[in-house]
Amino acid sequence: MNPHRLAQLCFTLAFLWALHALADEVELHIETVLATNSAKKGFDTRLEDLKPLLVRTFHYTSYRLVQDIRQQARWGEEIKVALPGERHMQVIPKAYERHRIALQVILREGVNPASLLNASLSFPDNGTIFFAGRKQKDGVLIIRIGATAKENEQ
Amino acid sequence: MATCSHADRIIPLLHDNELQNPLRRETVAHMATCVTCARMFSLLEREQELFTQTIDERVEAIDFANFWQAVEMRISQPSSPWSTRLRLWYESWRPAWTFPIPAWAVAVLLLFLIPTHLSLNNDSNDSQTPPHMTENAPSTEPPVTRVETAPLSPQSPSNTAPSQHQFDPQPIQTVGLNDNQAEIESIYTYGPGAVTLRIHHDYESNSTVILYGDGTNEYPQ
Repeated sequence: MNPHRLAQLCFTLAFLWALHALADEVELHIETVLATNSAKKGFDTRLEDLKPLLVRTFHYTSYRLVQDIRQQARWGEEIKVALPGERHMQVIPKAYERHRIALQVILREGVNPASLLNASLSFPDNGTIFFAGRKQKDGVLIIRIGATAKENEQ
Repeated sequence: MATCSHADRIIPLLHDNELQNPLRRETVAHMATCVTCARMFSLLEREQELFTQTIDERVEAIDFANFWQAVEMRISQPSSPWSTRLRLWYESWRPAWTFPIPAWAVAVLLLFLIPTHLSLNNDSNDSQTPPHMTENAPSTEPPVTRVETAPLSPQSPSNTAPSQHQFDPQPIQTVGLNDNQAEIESIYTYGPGAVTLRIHHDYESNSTVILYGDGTNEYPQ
């Protein structure tokens, strides 16, 4: 193989690898609900699909969607989300295996954020998981994290 | 001096035998009536003739009498020094060094992406490690509390008090593997005071809910 052909081959492989690395993504959907016992009762209309679960699990009188984020991420990329009440969440999509998405979720709170919770978990592609806590003056934050893999298994 | 638009554009192609019919036929017919083009064609032919003649004269002037003797002598000589061979090797690869700009752009991109990708993986692995497992980790956070995370049914009595242990690096407990149910590889809580943790599985929606708090009545039931 002459050098010029070899260079072309290397270039093509590198280009394809770069495209593959850029295309290998996961879509995260992070919804934050504020649950309170305020005098004004009711459900945010955007939470209709969550209503039965919220009623069964939490007995607050009011549920309001305060944040709704959709974010594309590469595998291994850290996504930082600022939550109400000086809380911060880091979500790291780690792997996609057997149609399950593995995530690392770290919750921090405070002005000088200290870790509150660090979880490594997995759930099915297109699945969701909920985090709820901890009490603040208005109630609790309920966070639903959903993830959808954009590529086939790694 | 008369000019013709064909003289500069078409006639050199005709002379180089680059034209296909019917353009070739049209150009030949045009040249029969156009003095400028006919002169241009003649000039090109004369130029070619002179060029060939010059080359032939130069070649004839070269003395090939000792050519093969010289070749045999060079073959019998010891091989050239490594510096010469290196230079020859470099010259043979010269086309490869002159990559097009996009190739260099991709190479630079790869040099940037690979370390970034590796560092991201390392970061995620590091952040998975509890602080006290890292030798030089700052000691601003209190020791890790490991919390048992057995799934509870919604109707089960409150079991929010965590049983605390010294840290054990073993994964805690697998919580379910069905449909939307999450599998929890590890979970740690930190922070000042007791951080309670409950993992609740909602059977009707088949969803996993991780409840964390300070043990007060955060989740009235």
